[in-house]
Amino acid sequence: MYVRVEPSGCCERKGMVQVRFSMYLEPTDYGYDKHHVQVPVIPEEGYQGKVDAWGNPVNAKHFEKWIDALPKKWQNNPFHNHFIYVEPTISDESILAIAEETLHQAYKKWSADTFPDVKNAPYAKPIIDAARITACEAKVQHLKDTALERKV
Amino acid sequence: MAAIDIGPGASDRGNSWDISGYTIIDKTNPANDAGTLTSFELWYNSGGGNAANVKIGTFSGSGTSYDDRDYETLGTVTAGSKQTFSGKDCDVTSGDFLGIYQSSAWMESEATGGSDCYYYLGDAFGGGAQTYTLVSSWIISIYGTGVPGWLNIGKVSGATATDLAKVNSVAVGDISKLNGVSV
Repeated sequence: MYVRVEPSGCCERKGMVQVRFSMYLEPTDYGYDKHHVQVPVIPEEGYQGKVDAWGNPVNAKHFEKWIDALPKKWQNNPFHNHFIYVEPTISDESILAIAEETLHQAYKKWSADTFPDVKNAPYAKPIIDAARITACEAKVQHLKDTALERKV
Repeated sequence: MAAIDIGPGASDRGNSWDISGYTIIDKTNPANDAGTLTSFELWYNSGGGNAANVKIGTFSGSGTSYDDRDYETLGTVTAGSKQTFSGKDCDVTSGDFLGIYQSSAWMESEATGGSDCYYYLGDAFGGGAQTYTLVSSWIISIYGTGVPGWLNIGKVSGATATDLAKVNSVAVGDISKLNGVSV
Protein backbone atom coordinates (compact mmCIF):
# COMPACT_ATOMS: atom_id res chain seq x y z
CA MET A 1 0.00 0.00 0.00
CA TYR A 2 1.05 3.57 -0.40
CA VAL A 3 -0.01 7.09 0.48
CA ARG A 4 0.18 10.23 -1.64
CA VAL A 5 -0.19 13.89 -0.82
CA GLU A 6 -3.10 14.76 -3.13
CA PRO A 7 -2.33 18.25 -4.49
CA SER A 8 -5.95 19.12 -5.32
CA GLY A 9 -6.94 18.76 -1.65
CA CYS A 10 -4.13 20.94 -0.25
CA CYS A 11 -4.96 24.55 0.62
CA GLU A 12 -4.74 27.21 3.31
CA ARG A 13 -7.47 26.76 5.89
CA LYS A 14 -7.99 28.98 8.92
CA GLY A 15 -4.30 29.90 9.05
CA MET A 16 -3.01 26.33 8.76
CA VAL A 17 -1.83 24.26 5.82
CA GLN A 18 -4.46 21.67 4.91
CA VAL A 19 -2.81 18.50 3.58
CA ARG A 20 -4.80 15.71 1.97
CA PHE A 21 -3.51 12.14 2.11
CA SER A 22 -4.94 9.70 -0.45
CA MET A 23 -4.28 6.08 0.51
CA TYR A 24 -4.07 3.29 -2.06
CA LEU A 25 -4.04 -0.50 -1.90
CA GLU A 26 -1.92 -2.96 -3.88
CA PRO A 27 -3.10 -6.33 -5.20
CA THR A 28 -1.94 -8.27 -2.11
CA ASP A 29 -3.67 -5.86 0.32
CA TYR A 30 -7.05 -6.57 1.94
CA GLY A 31 -10.03 -5.38 -0.10
CA TYR A 32 -7.99 -4.33 -3.15
CA ASP A 33 -10.82 -5.20 -5.55
CA LYS A 34 -13.26 -2.78 -3.90
CA HIS A 35 -11.41 0.24 -5.26
CA HIS A 36 -9.67 -1.25 -8.31
CA VAL A 37 -12.46 -0.47 -10.74
CA GLN A 38 -13.06 -0.40 -14.47
CA VAL A 39 -14.11 2.98 -15.80
CA PRO A 40 -15.12 3.99 -19.32
CA VAL A 41 -12.75 6.05 -21.44
CA ILE A 42 -14.96 9.02 -22.31
CA PRO A 43 -14.18 10.52 -25.75
CA GLU A 44 -13.40 14.22 -25.85
CA GLU A 45 -16.65 15.07 -27.66
CA GLY A 46 -18.67 13.31 -24.94
CA TYR A 47 -22.14 11.81 -25.39
CA GLN A 48 -23.69 12.96 -28.68
CA GLY A 49 -27.25 11.75 -28.05
CA LYS A 50 -30.14 13.98 -26.95
CA VAL A 51 -29.72 15.57 -23.52
CA ASP A 52 -31.97 17.62 -21.23
CA ALA A 53 -31.27 21.06 -19.76
CA TRP A 54 -28.84 19.47 -17.29
CA GLY A 55 -26.91 17.73 -20.00
CA ASN A 56 -28.35 14.40 -18.85
CA PRO A 57 -29.27 11.87 -21.56
CA VAL A 58 -32.96 11.87 -22.49
CA ASN A 59 -32.88 8.20 -23.49
CA ALA A 60 -31.32 6.28 -20.60
CA LYS A 61 -31.15 2.98 -22.50
CA HIS A 62 -29.41 4.58 -25.47
CA PHE A 63 -26.95 6.18 -23.11
CA GLU A 64 -26.28 2.91 -21.27
CA LYS A 65 -25.55 1.23 -24.63
CA TRP A 66 -23.14 4.03 -25.49
CA ILE A 67 -21.34 3.71 -22.16
CA ASP A 68 -21.17 -0.11 -22.45
CA ALA A 69 -19.62 0.17 -25.92
CA LEU A 70 -16.82 2.50 -24.80
CA PRO A 71 -13.35 1.09 -24.16
CA LYS A 72 -12.60 0.58 -20.46
CA LYS A 73 -9.53 1.14 -18.35
CA TRP A 74 -8.60 0.05 -14.84
CA GLN A 75 -8.47 2.77 -12.22
CA ASN A 76 -7.09 2.31 -8.69
CA ASN A 77 -9.10 4.61 -6.42
CA PRO A 78 -8.01 5.54 -2.90
CA PHE A 79 -9.45 3.28 -0.20
CA HIS A 80 -9.52 6.30 2.09
CA ASN A 81 -8.57 9.99 2.23
CA HIS A 82 -7.53 11.90 5.32
CA PHE A 83 -6.78 15.57 6.06
CA ILE A 84 -4.28 17.05 8.48
CA TYR A 85 -3.62 20.69 9.41
CA VAL A 86 0.01 21.67 9.90
CA GLU A 87 2.25 24.68 10.38
CA PRO A 88 3.70 26.17 7.16
CA THR A 89 7.21 25.52 8.52
CA ILE A 90 6.76 21.74 8.68
CA SER A 91 9.30 19.69 6.70
CA ASP A 92 8.37 17.30 3.90
CA GLU A 93 9.91 14.43 5.92
CA SER A 94 7.62 15.24 8.88
CA ILE A 95 4.58 15.25 6.58
CA LEU A 96 5.60 11.87 5.17
CA ALA A 97 6.07 10.48 8.69
CA ILE A 98 2.51 11.56 9.58
CA ALA A 99 1.29 10.16 6.25
CA GLU A 100 2.83 6.77 6.98
CA GLU A 101 1.36 6.62 10.49
CA THR A 102 -2.04 7.68 9.11
CA LEU A 103 -1.88 4.96 6.46
CA HIS A 104 -1.18 2.29 9.09
CA GLN A 105 -4.06 3.50 11.27
CA ALA A 106 -6.49 3.66 8.34
CA TYR A 107 -5.50 0.25 6.95
CA LYS A 108 -5.89 -1.38 10.37
CA LYS A 109 -9.53 -0.21 10.47
CA TRP A 110 -10.12 -0.91 6.76
CA SER A 111 -8.91 -4.49 7.08
CA ALA A 112 -11.24 -4.96 10.08
CA ASP A 113 -14.17 -3.78 7.92
CA THR A 114 -14.68 -0.63 9.95
CA PHE A 115 -14.75 2.95 8.71
CA PRO A 116 -11.14 4.22 8.66
CA ASP A 117 -11.99 7.32 10.67
CA VAL A 118 -8.50 8.48 11.65
CA LYS A 119 -8.34 11.20 14.32
CA ASN A 120 -5.95 14.14 14.34
CA ALA A 121 -4.11 15.35 17.43
CA PRO A 122 -5.50 18.68 18.67
CA TYR A 123 -3.58 21.79 17.70
CA ALA A 124 -3.64 25.40 18.85
CA LYS A 125 -5.54 27.64 16.47
CA PRO A 126 -3.21 30.37 15.20
CA ILE A 127 -3.53 34.11 15.05
CA ILE A 128 -4.10 34.75 11.36
CA ASP A 129 -2.36 37.63 9.59
CA ALA A 130 -1.23 38.34 6.04
CA ALA A 131 2.28 36.95 6.61
CA ARG A 132 0.90 33.67 7.92
CA ILE A 133 -1.48 33.32 4.98
CA THR A 134 1.40 33.98 2.57
CA ALA A 135 3.54 31.35 4.32
CA CYS A 136 0.71 28.81 4.17
CA GLU A 137 0.10 29.49 0.47
CA ALA A 138 3.81 29.05 -0.26
CA LYS A 139 3.84 25.69 1.53
CA VAL A 140 0.69 24.62 -0.34
CA GLN A 141 2.31 25.48 -3.67
CA HIS A 142 5.38 23.50 -2.65
CA LEU A 143 3.18 20.48 -1.85
CA LYS A 144 1.41 20.80 -5.20
CA ASP A 145 4.78 20.91 -6.98
CA THR A 146 6.40 18.00 -5.15
CA ALA A 147 3.52 15.46 -4.94
CA LEU A 148 5.00 13.54 -2.00
CA GLU A 149 4.43 9.78 -1.83
CA ARG A 150 5.45 6.95 0.50
CA LYS A 151 5.12 3.21 -0.02
CA VAL A 152 5.09 0.91 3.00
CA MET B 1 -23.39 10.95 23.22
CA ALA B 2 -24.66 9.69 19.86
CA ALA B 3 -22.81 10.62 16.69
CA ILE B 4 -24.18 13.25 14.32
CA ASP B 5 -25.17 12.16 10.86
CA ILE B 6 -26.43 14.12 7.85
CA GLY B 7 -27.33 13.31 4.26
CA PRO B 8 -28.93 10.35 2.49
CA GLY B 9 -25.87 8.04 2.32
CA ALA B 10 -23.27 7.29 -0.34
CA SER B 11 -24.19 4.23 -2.38
CA ASP B 12 -24.14 2.87 -5.92
CA ARG B 13 -27.61 4.05 -6.96
CA GLY B 14 -29.58 3.17 -10.08
CA ASN B 15 -29.11 6.44 -11.92
CA SER B 16 -26.54 9.16 -12.47
CA TRP B 17 -26.93 12.94 -12.54
CA ASP B 18 -24.65 15.36 -14.37
CA ILE B 19 -24.20 18.04 -11.71
CA SER B 20 -21.16 19.69 -13.26
CA GLY B 21 -20.92 23.29 -12.15
CA TYR B 22 -23.87 23.12 -9.75
CA THR B 23 -24.28 23.32 -6.00
CA ILE B 24 -26.74 20.64 -4.91
CA ILE B 25 -28.43 20.50 -1.50
CA ASP B 26 -30.04 17.17 -0.55
CA LYS B 27 -32.74 17.57 2.09
CA THR B 28 -32.82 13.88 2.96
CA ASN B 29 -31.78 13.20 6.56
CA PRO B 30 -31.00 16.64 8.01
CA ALA B 31 -28.45 16.82 10.84
CA ASN B 32 -29.69 15.31 14.08
CA ASP B 33 -27.53 17.46 16.38
CA ALA B 34 -25.15 20.41 16.57
CA GLY B 35 -21.38 19.97 16.54
CA THR B 36 -18.64 19.19 14.05
CA LEU B 37 -18.70 16.95 10.98
CA THR B 38 -15.41 15.04 10.81
CA SER B 39 -16.03 12.52 8.01
CA PHE B 40 -17.68 12.52 4.60
CA GLU B 41 -18.60 9.87 2.05
CA LEU B 42 -19.37 10.40 -1.67
CA TRP B 43 -19.97 8.20 -4.69
CA TYR B 44 -19.53 9.64 -8.21
CA ASN B 45 -20.57 7.71 -11.32
CA SER B 46 -17.66 6.71 -13.56
CA GLY B 47 -19.55 7.78 -16.71
CA GLY B 48 -18.68 11.40 -15.97
CA GLY B 49 -15.02 10.90 -15.08
CA ASN B 50 -13.44 11.92 -11.79
CA ALA B 51 -15.03 14.87 -9.97
CA ALA B 52 -13.01 18.08 -9.94
CA ASN B 53 -12.89 20.95 -7.42
CA VAL B 54 -15.22 19.27 -4.96
CA LYS B 55 -16.49 21.15 -1.91
CA ILE B 56 -18.94 19.79 0.67
CA GLY B 57 -20.69 21.58 3.49
CA THR B 58 -23.71 22.37 5.62
CA PHE B 59 -26.66 24.60 4.75
CA SER B 60 -29.46 26.24 6.69
CA GLY B 61 -32.62 27.63 5.18
CA SER B 62 -36.06 26.72 3.86
CA GLY B 63 -38.19 27.00 0.75
CA THR B 64 -35.86 28.08 -2.03
CA SER B 65 -33.39 30.13 0.05
CA TYR B 66 -30.32 28.49 1.60
CA ASP B 67 -27.07 29.75 3.09
CA ASP B 68 -23.97 27.66 3.77
CA ARG B 69 -22.90 27.47 7.40
CA ASP B 70 -19.47 25.98 6.76
CA TYR B 71 -17.72 23.98 4.06
CA GLU B 72 -14.67 21.85 3.34
CA THR B 73 -12.51 21.73 0.22
CA LEU B 74 -11.91 18.11 -0.85
CA GLY B 75 -10.28 18.59 -4.28
CA THR B 76 -10.48 15.87 -6.93
CA VAL B 77 -12.63 12.86 -6.02
CA THR B 78 -12.28 9.67 -8.02
CA ALA B 79 -15.39 8.10 -9.56
CA GLY B 80 -16.50 4.47 -9.62
CA SER B 81 -16.34 3.58 -5.91
CA LYS B 82 -17.36 5.08 -2.58
CA GLN B 83 -14.80 7.65 -1.51
CA THR B 84 -14.33 8.38 2.19
CA PHE B 85 -12.74 11.37 3.91
CA SER B 86 -11.75 11.93 7.54
CA GLY B 87 -9.99 14.63 9.52
CA LYS B 88 -12.45 17.39 8.62
CA ASP B 89 -13.82 20.13 10.84
CA CYS B 90 -17.16 21.34 9.45
CA ASP B 91 -19.64 23.21 11.67
CA VAL B 92 -23.16 21.82 11.76
CA THR B 93 -26.37 22.67 13.61
CA SER B 94 -29.39 20.47 14.16
CA GLY B 95 -31.66 20.61 11.10
CA ASP B 96 -28.90 21.59 8.65
CA PHE B 97 -28.77 19.99 5.20
CA LEU B 98 -25.75 18.57 3.39
CA GLY B 99 -24.70 20.07 0.06
CA ILE B 100 -21.97 19.69 -2.52
CA TYR B 101 -20.33 21.54 -5.40
CA GLN B 102 -18.07 20.17 -8.17
CA SER B 103 -16.95 21.78 -11.42
CA SER B 104 -17.43 18.50 -13.30
CA ALA B 105 -18.87 15.05 -12.51
CA TRP B 106 -21.88 12.80 -12.49
CA MET B 107 -23.16 11.65 -9.13
CA GLU B 108 -24.79 8.36 -8.24
CA SER B 109 -28.44 9.31 -7.78
CA GLU B 110 -32.07 8.26 -8.04
CA ALA B 111 -35.11 10.18 -9.27
CA THR B 112 -37.30 8.92 -6.44
CA GLY B 113 -37.01 8.12 -2.76
CA GLY B 114 -35.44 11.34 -1.55
CA SER B 115 -36.76 14.33 0.37
CA ASP B 116 -36.04 16.67 -2.56
CA CYS B 117 -32.85 18.25 -3.87
CA TYR B 118 -32.26 21.93 -4.59
CA TYR B 119 -29.77 23.23 -7.15
CA TYR B 120 -27.93 26.49 -7.78
CA LEU B 121 -25.86 27.15 -10.90
CA GLY B 122 -22.35 27.89 -9.64
CA ASP B 123 -20.32 27.49 -6.46
CA ALA B 124 -22.55 28.74 -3.62
CA PHE B 125 -20.06 28.06 -0.83
CA GLY B 126 -18.99 31.23 0.92
CA GLY B 127 -21.43 33.27 -1.14
CA GLY B 128 -24.16 33.95 1.45
CA ALA B 129 -27.84 33.15 0.94
CA GLN B 130 -28.79 32.10 -2.59
CA THR B 131 -32.00 31.19 -4.37
CA TYR B 132 -32.24 27.52 -5.35
CA THR B 133 -34.51 25.52 -7.65
CA LEU B 134 -36.37 22.40 -6.53
CA VAL B 135 -35.84 18.96 -8.05
CA SER B 136 -38.58 16.86 -6.44
CA SER B 137 -37.77 13.52 -4.83
CA TRP B 138 -34.22 13.21 -6.20
CA ILE B 139 -31.58 11.73 -3.95
CA ILE B 140 -27.79 11.85 -4.37
CA SER B 141 -24.90 9.94 -2.81
CA ILE B 142 -23.44 12.10 -0.06
CA TYR B 143 -23.14 11.57 3.69
CA GLY B 144 -21.45 13.11 6.69
CA THR B 145 -20.84 12.08 10.29
CA GLY B 146 -19.40 13.88 13.26
CA VAL B 147 -19.40 14.56 16.95
CA PRO B 148 -21.77 16.72 18.97
CA GLY B 149 -20.28 19.95 20.25
CA TRP B 150 -20.44 21.33 23.72
CA LEU B 151 -23.13 23.97 23.87
CA ASN B 152 -22.70 25.08 27.49
CA ILE B 153 -18.95 24.88 28.11
CA GLY B 154 -16.58 26.78 25.83
CA LYS B 155 -13.23 26.25 27.58
CA VAL B 156 -11.57 23.67 29.82
CA SER B 157 -8.50 24.82 31.76
CA GLY B 158 -8.09 27.67 29.27
CA ALA B 159 -8.28 25.49 26.15
CA THR B 160 -11.17 25.79 23.68
CA ALA B 161 -13.41 22.76 24.19
CA THR B 162 -13.78 22.07 20.47
CA ASP B 163 -9.98 21.76 20.16
CA LEU B 164 -9.77 19.00 22.77
CA ALA B 165 -9.80 15.29 22.01
CA LYS B 166 -9.83 14.19 25.67
CA VAL B 167 -10.47 15.63 29.14
CA ASN B 168 -9.00 13.70 32.08
CA SER B 169 -8.25 10.82 29.67
CA VAL B 170 -11.93 10.58 28.58
CA ALA B 171 -12.82 11.22 24.94
CA VAL B 172 -14.70 14.52 24.57
CA GLY B 173 -17.49 12.79 22.66
CA ASP B 174 -18.14 10.49 25.62
CA ILE B 175 -18.58 13.29 28.19
CA SER B 176 -22.09 14.54 28.93
CA LYS B 177 -21.30 16.48 32.14
CA LEU B 178 -18.25 18.24 33.53
CA ASN B 179 -18.15 19.16 37.23
CA GLY B 180 -21.89 18.60 37.33
CA VAL B 181 -22.64 20.89 34.40
CA SER B 182 -24.14 19.55 31.16
CA VAL B 183 -21.61 20.09 28.40
